[in-house]
Amino acid sequence: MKALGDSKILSYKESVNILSRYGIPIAKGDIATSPEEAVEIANRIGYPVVLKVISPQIIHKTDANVLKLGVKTESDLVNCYHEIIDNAERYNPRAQIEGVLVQEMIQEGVEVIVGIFRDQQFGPVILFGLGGIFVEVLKDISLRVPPITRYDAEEMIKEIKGYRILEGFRGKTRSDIEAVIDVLLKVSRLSVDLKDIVLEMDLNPIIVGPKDRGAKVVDARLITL
Amino acid sequence: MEEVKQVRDLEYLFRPKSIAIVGASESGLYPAGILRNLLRYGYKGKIFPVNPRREVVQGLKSYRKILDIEEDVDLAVIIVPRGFVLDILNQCAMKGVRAVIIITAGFGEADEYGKQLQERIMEFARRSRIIICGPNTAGLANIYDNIVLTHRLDPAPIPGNVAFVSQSGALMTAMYGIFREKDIGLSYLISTGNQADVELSECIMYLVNDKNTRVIAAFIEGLKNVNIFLNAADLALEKGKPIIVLKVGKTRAGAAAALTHTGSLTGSDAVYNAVFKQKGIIRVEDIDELVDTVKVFSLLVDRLPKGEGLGIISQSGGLASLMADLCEDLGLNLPELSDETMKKLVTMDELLTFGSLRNPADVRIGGTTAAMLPRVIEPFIQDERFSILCILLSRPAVGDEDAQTASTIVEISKTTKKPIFVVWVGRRIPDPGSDLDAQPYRILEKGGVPIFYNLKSCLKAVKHLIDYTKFRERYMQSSKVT
Repeated sequence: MKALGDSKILSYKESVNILSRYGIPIAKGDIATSPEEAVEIANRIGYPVVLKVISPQIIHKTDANVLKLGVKTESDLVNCYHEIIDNAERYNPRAQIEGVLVQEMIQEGVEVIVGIFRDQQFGPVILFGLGGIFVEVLKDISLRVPPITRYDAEEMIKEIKGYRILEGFRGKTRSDIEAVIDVLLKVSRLSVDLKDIVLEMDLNPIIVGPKDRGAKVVDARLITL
Repeated sequence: MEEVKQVRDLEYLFRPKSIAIVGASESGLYPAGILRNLLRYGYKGKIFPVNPRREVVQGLKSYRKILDIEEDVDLAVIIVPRGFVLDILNQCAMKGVRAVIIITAGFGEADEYGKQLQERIMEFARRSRIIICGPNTAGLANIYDNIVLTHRLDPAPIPGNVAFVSQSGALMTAMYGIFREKDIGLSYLISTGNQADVELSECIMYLVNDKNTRVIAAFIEGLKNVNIFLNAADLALEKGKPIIVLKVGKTRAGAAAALTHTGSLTGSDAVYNAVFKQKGIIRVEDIDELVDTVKVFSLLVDRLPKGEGLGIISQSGGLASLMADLCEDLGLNLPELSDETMKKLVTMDELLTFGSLRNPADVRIGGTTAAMLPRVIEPFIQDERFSILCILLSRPAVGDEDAQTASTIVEISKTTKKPIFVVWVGRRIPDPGSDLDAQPYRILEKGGVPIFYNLKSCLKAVKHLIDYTKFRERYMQSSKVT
């Protein structure tokens, strides 16, 4: 295995390219390198939109204040654009900025994470968990070694303690668990095909809509060897 | 990741037709023990002691060097000081020996010099293609072919369907004693030692393909060749050979350098757990659970429960409640009695049920006599809610009085396909001078009925049995689809 020093963080566009090739659904959006371009993209996908600065050096976008949700108008968008670029530069003056991602605002859903990491013994391992504090604080995750079967994918989802949140409880609707299974199977295929290339991957978050409404990757990070 | 090693044929290691023992002697744990065990247990192949200082060892002609042996040698067991091992290996290569077991310690597990020696052994294995088990191994035993290549194995082994492979030599010997005490029959015992060449995964693959082995138990510190391990696990599932592992080392791997959330979230033991779960491998947490799980699978691997429902017939109300609590904790399913079962039981006056019974059913001593037990258990056998039955006893497990109950249980177990096991809480050491095999608990052990003495490890074992059965059914279905 190569040392981490040789690894490379893929750009947003490169990551999206790979994910699309495997049919993994991604929230609509594109990278803007100017406010004008951002407006153009927003007009194409429709308001409200989400803005976020894309930089290999900035992993936690909320911490760096480079994320804006629910931007509703063109003037808002231009203001927010400048604001988050400034924030990014303040947060890390040496951060390379790929651009600002203008993305559709997904209104409703449960956040999950699907990832790949490399175990010294077993090679690529697929991870699943609920997003936010569930993975970061509670470490409520499940793992499998690819290739996984549909049964494995189902078990991965059922295994986490937060499964009830996906099932829907106290009147909340059931999430589109089928769509999550589909993403897991596609990620499994990707990890097998690209096992000599992909070192780590985060699809975090994926927003899972209510039953039959699908799941979409909202942020992705791929590390290659 | 390391390259995939091809699975080799380990026949010469495990089923040699001729064995040289380099360093055989009249005394010493291994120098005397291995030869003595080959002779004592009736090894059918040829044995060649090699010891330059003796003409005869334990009644057999001794050779000065391995090269002096006129006939072919399949396997050489090396028990000489570490400084001589490489020289002996070279002689083995010249002689055309196919496989070697290096008992000698003081290699990778020891000092710098030892580590260098082990490197050279590994290099030798790659070059010569000789199969090497060890160094620093306690040896191995192939029970069906009377090949006992370890220092001590007594009383005489019982051939059976369980193989135990261990990365700890001392534990191999210890577990043998426990398995033997409980009449658990064995096919193979293997200590892999420092794994300079042959590794645990290869042994498991061999055992999955071995016709006598139905249950594989392993003590694991770490795996070297995960690809062979994963393939062996898949094949074991297909063949219906459960793998039970006791794995140590729950330390977290250094995840500090990870560049993603995913990379920093987990340690290597969690990955082992996931792999075990994914492949239907049964992970146990301690020796008691290992023994009870091995026992339950060994005896019930050909009559796996068809569902999850556990029915318990208890001699004691207190034990019945305790069992109910433990089942709840472990997630074991105790269905209520059907109306029909209830009706049949409450009309038996001997049970003193006073009109009502639950599961676990407290049928008192009156319901567990040799005369009553067949009548009491019949409704449970007929009741489709129950896929596995437990008889819970609390009277002394020794003495004449309960011998008939024990014999009756053995008979009942033969008449049904529904798996039945016994949990016996009570005295187990008989009066001095009494016939051990006539004791009730021994009647069950010898009769092939799984009998347990520890409630919790027994119920964990039964849970493993139920979970494994369910997992395998799902696995077979899904592998048909894809």
